[in-house]
Amino acid sequence: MSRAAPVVLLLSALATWWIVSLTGKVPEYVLPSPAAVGAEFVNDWRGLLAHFSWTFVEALGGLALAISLGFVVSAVLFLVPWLEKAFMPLIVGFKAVPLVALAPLFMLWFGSGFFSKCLMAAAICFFPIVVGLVRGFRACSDDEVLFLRDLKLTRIRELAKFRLWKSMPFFLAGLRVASVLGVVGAIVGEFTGARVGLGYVVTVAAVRIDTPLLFVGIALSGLCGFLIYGLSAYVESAVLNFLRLEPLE
Amino acid sequence: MKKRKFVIAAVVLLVAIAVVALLLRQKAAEIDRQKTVKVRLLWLNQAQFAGIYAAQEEGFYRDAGFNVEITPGGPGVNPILLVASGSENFGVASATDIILAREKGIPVRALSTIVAENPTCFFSRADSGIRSVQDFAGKKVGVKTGFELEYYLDAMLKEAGVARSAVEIIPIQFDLTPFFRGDIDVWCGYRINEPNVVRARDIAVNEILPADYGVKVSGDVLFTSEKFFNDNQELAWAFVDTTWRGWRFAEEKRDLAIEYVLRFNPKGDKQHERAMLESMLGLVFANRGSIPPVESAAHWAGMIDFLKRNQVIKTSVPAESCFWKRR
Repeated sequence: MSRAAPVVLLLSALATWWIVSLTGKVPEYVLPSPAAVGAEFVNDWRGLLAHFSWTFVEALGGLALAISLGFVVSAVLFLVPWLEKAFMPLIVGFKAVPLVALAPLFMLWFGSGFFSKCLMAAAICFFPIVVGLVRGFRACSDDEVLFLRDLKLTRIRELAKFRLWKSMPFFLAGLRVASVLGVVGAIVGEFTGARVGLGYVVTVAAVRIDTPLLFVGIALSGLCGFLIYGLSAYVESAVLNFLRLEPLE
Repeated sequence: MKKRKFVIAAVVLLVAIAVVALLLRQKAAEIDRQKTVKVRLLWLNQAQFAGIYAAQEEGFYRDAGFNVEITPGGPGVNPILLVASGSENFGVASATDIILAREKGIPVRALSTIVAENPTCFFSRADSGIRSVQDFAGKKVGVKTGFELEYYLDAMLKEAGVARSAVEIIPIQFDLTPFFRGDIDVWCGYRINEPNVVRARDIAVNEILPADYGVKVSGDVLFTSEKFFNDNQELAWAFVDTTWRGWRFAEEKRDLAIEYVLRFNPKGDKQHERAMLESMLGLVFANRGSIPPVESAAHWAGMIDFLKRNQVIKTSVPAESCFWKRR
């Protein structure tokens, strides 16, 4: 039953939407019928799929960039503790900056192409990954700390041989959060100037008051986030199974 | 002695308070008698709407029996939807917005066209040698993607016989830095705004007008919802007349008009607003005779045909449904 619950909820929402649109009390430009939204998708599914794929790849690119940068930064923060004290408040502060405010700046610095959208996605994915890793590196029990002391490893070897693997559940939990955010970053980047992508679709739909297309854009954005989340959840379970580690609650 | 002075001061203060209260009450009663209407502008407060500010600040609206609340637009604000929903009474939108709205069955219509000419342009540095759309081939053209200039460019390229693939189209925003930096050869925008910003830096520009390539789409129009119009026809036309009175005032007394613009946009740059006003007045008043009558079905039919040909609208819209003809 618990597995069927989201499907039942989704179908109920769709049915309610359909019934409301059938009453004719709400204008089509405010709430188009599910049939109108479906027709909008069918009419140009090839084009929409191309926009979808573009955003999907941008979000994945951003995620990959954030992971790479996240590992490097977290490792440096672990190895140089005073840097962690100095940088963590700044990283938290950066997270509090609304992404929309950064988007025009990114466009100015990095142009309006694929790379700047990846960077936007990376900027928003970076925080949960770094926080996950930094917490993970320190997630050792007292016994493990004593054991590491006895081994008399250098800090860098301690990180590579032990703490990196120990941090995996934390990193993967952060990755799950970051995966959805990556799609948000890519779409916000596209809002500020793009010729392809779901952000472009949503902009065109809003400017042309094409509400069915707006619904399609929103639905595809949700699907994009859902797929990347599913992918990261699969990666999480596969990696943790392989390492025989428990997922983080 | 001191006590006497205190009593006099207290009496004077009480009388002053009573007079102010009386004046405020009169003012409130006057406002009550007037019809309060809300106007939503197409964009942020700037000289583009100088006529509306002048009508407000000179008291033309008040004299005509209106208490007008002017609210600026901005990114993400759609005047059409706000007026259609009834939360606001009048709005300024582009003629294209009205046609798009009619196609979607949104019950709004134009009352009067403020800018009959097409107000947009593409421009390059004067020394770049780019003077026509034919010169766009092999050049980087910045376009605000998703907006009307994107399909204007398509139409212009088609008209000029230039393949779209021959032009490198770069998505841009409002910040002109990439143009100044030389990253983009051709920029696009509104004739009242972006070219003036560039000229203010002593850089001469070549303006390439969509209108010269068959884009005969008008700019700003004053509009209202069908419901509001049907319930308040006389009032709606009175509002149009008063707004035009404001525009004529802005044309005659430009210094005062700029002062009023800056009251609405206190952080605005006076020189820039002045240049914008001059450009805007040029669009509003110049060449009006040479353009087909703006409140005519033929003019709207031409715009609808253009949008249909460029696949901006999917179904045709009856021209008569886009505007009200004054009887």
